[in-house]
Amino acid sequence: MSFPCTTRFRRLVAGRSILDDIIEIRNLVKVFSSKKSNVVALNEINLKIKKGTIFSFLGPNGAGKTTTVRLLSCLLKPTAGEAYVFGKNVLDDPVGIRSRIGVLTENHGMYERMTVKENLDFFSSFYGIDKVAIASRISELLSAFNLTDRADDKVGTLSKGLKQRAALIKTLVHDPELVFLDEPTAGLDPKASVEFRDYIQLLGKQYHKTIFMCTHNLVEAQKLSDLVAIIDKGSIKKIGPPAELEKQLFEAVTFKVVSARPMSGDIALSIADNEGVKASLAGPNELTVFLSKPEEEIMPRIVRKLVHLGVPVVEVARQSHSLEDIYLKLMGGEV
Amino acid sequence: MAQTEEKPLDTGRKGRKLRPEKIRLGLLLKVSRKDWREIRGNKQIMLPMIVVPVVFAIVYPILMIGAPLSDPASVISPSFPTVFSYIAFMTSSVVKPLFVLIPLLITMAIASDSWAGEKERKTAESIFLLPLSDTELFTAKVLSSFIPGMLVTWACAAGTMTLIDVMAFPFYPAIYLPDWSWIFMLFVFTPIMSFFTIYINVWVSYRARDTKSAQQIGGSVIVVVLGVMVSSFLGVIDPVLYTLTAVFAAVDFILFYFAPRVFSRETMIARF
Repeated sequence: MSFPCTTRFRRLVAGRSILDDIIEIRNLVKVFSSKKSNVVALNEINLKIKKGTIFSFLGPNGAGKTTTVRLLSCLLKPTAGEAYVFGKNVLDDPVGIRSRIGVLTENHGMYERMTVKENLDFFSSFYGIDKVAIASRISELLSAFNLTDRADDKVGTLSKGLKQRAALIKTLVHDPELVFLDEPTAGLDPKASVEFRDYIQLLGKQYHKTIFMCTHNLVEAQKLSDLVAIIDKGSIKKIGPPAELEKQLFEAVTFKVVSARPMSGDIALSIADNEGVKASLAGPNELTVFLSKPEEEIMPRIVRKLVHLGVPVVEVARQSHSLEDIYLKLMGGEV
Repeated sequence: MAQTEEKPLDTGRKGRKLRPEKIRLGLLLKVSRKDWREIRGNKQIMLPMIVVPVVFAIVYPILMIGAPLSDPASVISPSFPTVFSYIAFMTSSVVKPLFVLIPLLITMAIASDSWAGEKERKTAESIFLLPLSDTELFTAKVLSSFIPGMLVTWACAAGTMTLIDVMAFPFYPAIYLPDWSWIFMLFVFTPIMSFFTIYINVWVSYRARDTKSAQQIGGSVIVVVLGVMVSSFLGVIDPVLYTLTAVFAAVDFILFYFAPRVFSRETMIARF
């Protein structure tokens, strides 16, 4: 005999697990079919993103990043599997989901014959927000992104960087809870890229938006992200915070030890032991130490030993692997 | 971040429209107003919108009716015993069919740009991301063509009817136009024909890669239909008009029901 309350409880629990995550993807498959061939764009991917996370989706061109964004923004339908945004299945309430998200597409997607202000008025008018509130939000965002003086210029007359800035305002104008950024700095000059990165950081840290960013800019991802996933050929290769990925992928932790005086090669040999410590001279005054055990226990012992051997240690620094190293290791050198 | 291990789930809901959708007219008109603003800056569309009405509604009636009336005796013949019989014939056989052409040409120009233009300008994804259903988006694009097409047609018809009334006044001292058949044509037949043209062209535009190919494909379909229709107009008017109205009304109903349901963002996005 089954009790109705048991079923209800199960539903409640299942619902809560979905609601805890702003995005949840379960075994998602997307196949693009044509008369000639079937292309598997996503192959059983799984992903959970919590509210307030800055998430970076890394991968080469054609890996499936944009397809994932389009599925989550209800522009494409899954071939198999499930995708939930705000706890709602993307097939059940596409209009509701789209009203709560903002998407910065790879192309800025603004009407070039219309002014910045006209574009913003148009795109913001579909969300049921009061006209006065929208007007003040537009002017606030124009001012925050230094575009107030170009608001009455046609979008077609703006530089690529300014267009991208205007497009970001368009993405944020209805105050979305979840922001998708597809290659946000692609094609921008270095100065504009840095500025844009600051805006993204501002969004995450100050405005507490959940950000889902597709990029192949590894520096950008490393600087901004709380969570990173690396995707290739439609499959997620690794997912986790950058530091955790480093731990998972690189067995040894590396330290740089700098001495005030040049060291002899014997020093490296004398600190190496059978407990997972290796060392080599990186320069006359610099020693590189590789640890395969937790550094908190071993590193103080090594420093004491060096001092005992007469090495005047002036600097000890942990060398972390960059996201680029992680990416290269996973992708076998392909960037 | 733990990854779940469940087997792939087929939701079984792919592409199914669950229930009849509500149409939010206010939001659709916002899309249409944006389209009209875009159209104003597009010479490719504005040119036929200005040239066609001026030529068909003013130049053509003056040349075909006004010019011969400078010498009224010249139009008298066994076929036209009075000047007014000549005016009545030219009005119904030569000028009136043009009022089917005007909305068709205008709506065709706008409708063929509807989706193909968004694709060309790389704005389609932005408009797809708006919180509107597929049906609402498709209907908005239909309205973007229908409303200006009909407004221009009615404005032209008012101008042409006034012009003909002025030219005919010395020979028929009363208001000649509009008569019942003009009213029927302007408010029943041309809207029905315009809807047909728009549905065909919006659909072609949705499938085409750019505006030019949309115009070529959509235009060729419309030219065939027009050829049959305009040639039918010459001679017998009203029975043909009523039959065509009934036929195209039925076709429109089918298109109205099925076109928005078959339209999907996914099909267009997959072609990007």
